[in-house]
Amino acid sequence: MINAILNYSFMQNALMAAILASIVTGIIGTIAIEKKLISMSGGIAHASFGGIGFGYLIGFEPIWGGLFFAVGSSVLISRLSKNTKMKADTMTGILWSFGMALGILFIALTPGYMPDMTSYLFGDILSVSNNSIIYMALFTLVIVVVFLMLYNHMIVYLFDEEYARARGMNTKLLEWIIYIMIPIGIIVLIRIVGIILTIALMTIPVSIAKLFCKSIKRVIVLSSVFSAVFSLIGLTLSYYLNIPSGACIIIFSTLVYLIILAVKHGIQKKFHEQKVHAND
Amino acid sequence: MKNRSVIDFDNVRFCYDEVCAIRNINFSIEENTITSIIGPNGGGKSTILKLLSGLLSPDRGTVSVNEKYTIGYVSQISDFDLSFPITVLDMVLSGTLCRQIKPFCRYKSIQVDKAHDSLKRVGLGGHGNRGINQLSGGELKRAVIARVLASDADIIVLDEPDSSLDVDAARDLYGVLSDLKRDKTILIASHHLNEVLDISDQVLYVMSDARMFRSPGEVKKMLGGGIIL
Repeated sequence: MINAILNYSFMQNALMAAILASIVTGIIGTIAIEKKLISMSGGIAHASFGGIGFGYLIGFEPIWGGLFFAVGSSVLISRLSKNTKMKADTMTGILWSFGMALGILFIALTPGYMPDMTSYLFGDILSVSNNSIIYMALFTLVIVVVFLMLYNHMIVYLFDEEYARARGMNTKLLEWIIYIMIPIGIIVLIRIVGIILTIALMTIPVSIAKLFCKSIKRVIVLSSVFSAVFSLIGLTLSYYLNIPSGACIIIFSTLVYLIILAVKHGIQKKFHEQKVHAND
Repeated sequence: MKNRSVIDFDNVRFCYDEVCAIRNINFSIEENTITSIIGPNGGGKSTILKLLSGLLSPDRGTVSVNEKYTIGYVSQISDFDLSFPITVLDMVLSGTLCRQIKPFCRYKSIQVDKAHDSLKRVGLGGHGNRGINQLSGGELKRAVIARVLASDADIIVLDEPDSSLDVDAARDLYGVLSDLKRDKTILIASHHLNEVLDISDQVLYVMSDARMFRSPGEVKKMLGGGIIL
């Protein structure tokens, strides 16, 4: 594996992509979970398919189309749910399917051979190009810098929005920033696990980290580490077994999460029983 | 000598769509007093506190707060996501954070000291490194009050601080609030009448409109008739 990383540029790209996606997972996954925006993130990821299809139809880099659609749907969900009586969840459901439908339509209308969409739908870490690494690095840098700049205000907003508003903080600005950061992060993750599996990569590492940490800073760092480990193990399995990398990463991380959850629950139960016996 | 008025509600009305929570509310609150806001569910207690804290704007009338005073709002305990990974100290520290969103706004040691002092003031010194999910309901409520103290708010607004607390925890909490009256103006919405009336200087009875009682004794007399809130 190490030889492959040293000798093949596609393996070096895959490694770099895994690291970048892990950083994004730590930050964006934590924000989405704590702000209860996971379902919306799923909608954004799927809506981006419309933009990817549009990119193929018009003939520009599909991922920029995906980014445009993702940010657009995120802003639309946010504004409509605030300014109308429509619930964000309903709007998410509509844009989820509408984006996919548009993507299918645009690709069908694209002249020539129909492009292979599996890498966008299910991810393919082994096919990440140099160009993709550049935009992934750029998007990750934007996310990290913005998050670090606003870290303390962001934490107050995520934990207790009402308090932040009553204290006079500009919560609308923070909301706008979050609703733009999430789609940018999703576009980074799509290259690794694809549109359909993005939500799992956003949630599983953060959920595991939350089992061990009582500070959000640690959750972000630990979930990034978990995400990197899962991505690298998925990459290794995919390389040696010649099976889809996105599916490997998600199946492996889900199994790890369930095992950790079961072990932790078992330990807590045993500890509780010992305490009860001691009190008796 | 009469204290000066810090909060004024003048003919205030607020409606949620077509349902009016409060109508034509008029009252004034003086500084360094404890005012309890009582009334039945849906009577408009929380709406008054939210209007006061700037979380809602009145449909009609004016809510004025003396511009020299800052408000610290303590929401109902059920509003908190206890799974949020944050330590007690970090939560209290967030009370000292600058309001204006500036890049790289970091905590200084003086703010950390203030957070520790606030925790000690509410009897939670030494609990700073715990996660918020490791506190009891009463401790969490006191920690939230510590956050308001750390923010140097002059007016503390508490929405049902005693909900889901047992009798002892509620008594501890009201002890803490009573001690704060020396330098804070406090408004408390509550259903626990005995405890809250014991520490109040005045009572606002809200049921869509509002009646101000200058002494808790008057309210106790009125409620002696068997009114259930």
